[in-house]
Amino acid sequence: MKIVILGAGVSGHTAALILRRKLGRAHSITVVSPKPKWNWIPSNIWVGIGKMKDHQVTFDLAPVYKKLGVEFVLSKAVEIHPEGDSTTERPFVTVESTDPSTAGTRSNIDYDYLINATGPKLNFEATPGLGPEGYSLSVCTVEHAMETAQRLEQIVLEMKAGKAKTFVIGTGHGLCTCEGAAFEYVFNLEFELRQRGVRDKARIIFLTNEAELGDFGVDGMYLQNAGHISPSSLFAESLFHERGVESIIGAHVHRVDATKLEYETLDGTRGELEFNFAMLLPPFSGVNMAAFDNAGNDISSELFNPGKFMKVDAEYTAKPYEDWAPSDWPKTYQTKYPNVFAVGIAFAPPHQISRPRETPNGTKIAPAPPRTGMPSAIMGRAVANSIADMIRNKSTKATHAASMADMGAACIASAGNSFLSGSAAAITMYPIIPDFSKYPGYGRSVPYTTGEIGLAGHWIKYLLHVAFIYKAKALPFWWVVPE
Amino acid sequence: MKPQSTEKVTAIRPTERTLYYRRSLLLQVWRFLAINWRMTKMILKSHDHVIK
Repeated sequence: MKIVILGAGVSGHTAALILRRKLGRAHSITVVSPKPKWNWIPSNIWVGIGKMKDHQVTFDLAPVYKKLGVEFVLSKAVEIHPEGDSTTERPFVTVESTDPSTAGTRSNIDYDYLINATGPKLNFEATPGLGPEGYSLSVCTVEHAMETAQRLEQIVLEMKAGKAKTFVIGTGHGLCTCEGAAFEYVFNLEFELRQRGVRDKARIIFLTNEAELGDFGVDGMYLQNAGHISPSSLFAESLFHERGVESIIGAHVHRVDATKLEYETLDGTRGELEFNFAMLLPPFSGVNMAAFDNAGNDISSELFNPGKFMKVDAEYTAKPYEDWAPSDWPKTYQTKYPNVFAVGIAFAPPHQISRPRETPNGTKIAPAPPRTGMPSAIMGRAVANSIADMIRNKSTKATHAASMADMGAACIASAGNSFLSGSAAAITMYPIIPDFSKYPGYGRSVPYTTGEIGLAGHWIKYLLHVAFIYKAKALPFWWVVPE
Repeated sequence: MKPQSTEKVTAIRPTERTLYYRRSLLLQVWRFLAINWRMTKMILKSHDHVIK
């Protein structure tokens, strides 16, 4: 059998490792990725403040796949033909080379099973002026993070010369996700400026699409800590207050210019903010891929939602927020084609987790559900296990489930990188999708939903950095490291 | 619009004792072990499962 995995991020790479371990060499595994390197994205925030270099968060994929007997194709997927075409009944994907020597060349790769783990397209175009090609910075890729660190270095020099500077950190659009990354970057920045003795010259503003601090795109949570159950908004507000970081919540950014940005908040108020340094995350969309049936008809709308995310075994019927249910969320990540799966950012969530809101002017401000990191890896593992069983049992039925309504997440949000004076918020929650019928009152299990900040959190964040890169390199006993 | 001042936020602030706990190496070693244990339990609860 031939398994093709599109994408070598957390989800796709996890699936490749597990499939290789579960299946003999008689079965072929091909990974298609537009980038030659694997990137431990959670540590990009440390690259973005100059605490790590690019080589500490990335490594070349080709030698790892060679060792494992996995074929690696340096290309991006552009078309899916799940029924084959007029010349062949075998399903295939069309890929376009990103190798500098053959860039742009297209070829077809046939498959028996396909995992779409293409991750996000960083949709900077959604906001005029947003992104490294505009006027703001990013830490979404290691290249972006390196550029951000260089800019920070320059600005710190100016501050040391006595100049005051304004930093705006947060989300660059009302529909962004991954607020946690912005949360980490703002506190790492604040810590770094303190370490470098220029904190008094800095005004730091956190601008977010979350309706309240600590929402994180999961409608906030109730955290158990030190004998109390308190909302994550209180926990987060406390951290901002303690560090003197200002905040603008429930905000959509309309445009970013060289030194100022325009935004609108949930009450419809429009404002301008001048800045010297802006690190604003973009919203995500799915990557540009089209799908065709065997007659050559475009069936993209059947396989993808308007945001280009792939539809899987979820309940996509539009309904009011109050009617959304945990059971709407996908379990097996199987699409209408039983041999095609979509995991990680690539699958289409049935709806937001945080309540979607709109300003009086009709601007939508709705944090998108986070599905990176631990959930992505667990989905990759579940699909790999299912495919291995489907091959063994000669079945079309997926055998493993990993619904976000039945899955927890551990998030270690760094707030300063230093072995003796750093800190991080160690947050666990279960389940990711609140379930008020199972957990009345709080929507999540109280014993499993906790949060605390301290130096230990930083040690854990660093341990995870080391452990997950070790695992991704498929070094001896890599499989002992859990997702 | 003027950004929300942190001074107006009704946020709780850590006491000196809490700040000490967050820095104390001995206590943080204990928290390191406790958080890892908590995360391990959560991870075991969260992994994919066989559909019955």
